[in-house]
Amino acid sequence: MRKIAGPGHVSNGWVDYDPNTNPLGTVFTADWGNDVQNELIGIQAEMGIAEAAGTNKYVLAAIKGLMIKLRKDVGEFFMRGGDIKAPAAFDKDDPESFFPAVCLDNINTYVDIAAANWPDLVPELRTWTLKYLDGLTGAASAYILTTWAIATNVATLTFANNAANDAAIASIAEIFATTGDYPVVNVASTIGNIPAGNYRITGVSTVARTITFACTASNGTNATTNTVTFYTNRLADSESNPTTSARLYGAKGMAVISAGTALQMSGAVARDFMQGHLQDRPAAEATAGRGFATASASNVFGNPAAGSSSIIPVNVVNATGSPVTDGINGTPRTGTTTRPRSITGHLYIWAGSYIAP
Amino acid sequence: MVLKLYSPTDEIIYEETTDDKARVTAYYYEAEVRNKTEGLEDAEKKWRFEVSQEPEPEK
Repeated sequence: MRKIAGPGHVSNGWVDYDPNTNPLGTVFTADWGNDVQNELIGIQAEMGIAEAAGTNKYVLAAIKGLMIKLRKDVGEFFMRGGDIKAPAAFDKDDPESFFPAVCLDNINTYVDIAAANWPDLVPELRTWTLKYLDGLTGAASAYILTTWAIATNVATLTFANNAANDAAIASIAEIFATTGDYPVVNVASTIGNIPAGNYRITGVSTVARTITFACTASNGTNATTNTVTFYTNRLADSESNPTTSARLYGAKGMAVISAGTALQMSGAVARDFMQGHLQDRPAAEATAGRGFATASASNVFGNPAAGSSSIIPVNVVNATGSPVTDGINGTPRTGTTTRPRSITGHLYIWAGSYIAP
Repeated sequence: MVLKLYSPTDEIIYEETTDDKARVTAYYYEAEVRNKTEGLEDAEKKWRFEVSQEPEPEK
């Protein structure tokens, strides 16, 4: 857009007609009028509002819609109190009801969403990969192989022994433990007999550093130094509408945490954990009369078996005492998950746009 | 340390001696994935792993 530059303008401003002092006034030019018209129509068009005669509220409606659309980044997680709010498409007659977001805690395991309904979120989700130390020294999103193999249409990829690979494979195992579903491995270009494509992983061995997936190809095996990438929200080529859909995982009771450690890879879901430690058997205490039935009962410690009146456990394996207070912080609370003090809301992902089915 | 992966029938399927602590995670997840895949998460007999220290050499 530009300022008025027609005949009679003063410093590109308008001046009024005056029969004595300014008999011409500023001339309204087509250039300027069309600029103004196109600017206003452009605001409406950005939110899909068609031109209509006799209306005077749709530029404002479009501005409100744009403010809502752009108030968060596509893919941004956020919490909201109250009841679950359903997604709502933009309505030019009720622009403030626009809510292009998906609630993640009313998804049981996962849902596959279509770009036809979520035109901005699906392309975004399809780019999400498992990244190791994202943004830090040693970051990796492509993982190096040592061997490929195909036997009876099952492909096995073996990964090199390095920290990024170990973390990625463990993260895949954690995603499976959390959701019962595996992410997709992307083979960017042919590896041996394995054609390029997106494959749903069907098995993982963290000890052997392997993944397996269905792949119709000739049997064979060989060494390779190729890399592969893991897509957390992409669909496999063999699944429905793989290029126009994405998979969203449920997040019931989950918190959002920042990435940056080996087992907190961006894009991954995970269960709750107690900070890593090992609890060895108290072998030094395995002495008859010191909580053990016999000196050899080194794996027996803790509460008596149910129904036993003895304080000395006999043949009770993996039994421990209940948590007790330290005398300062009260009785320890236990539950199915580990968590801090909290207030509960619903977790959403922002989609930026939504078209109702 | 010595890492061992035991099957539900107490057979040792993998065993290695290593100083790499990341391998503990690998054995942990190997058992987790196998139990989930085979529906053994709540079974009495299931895949498990064991970490033990190598005995100190006799002086």
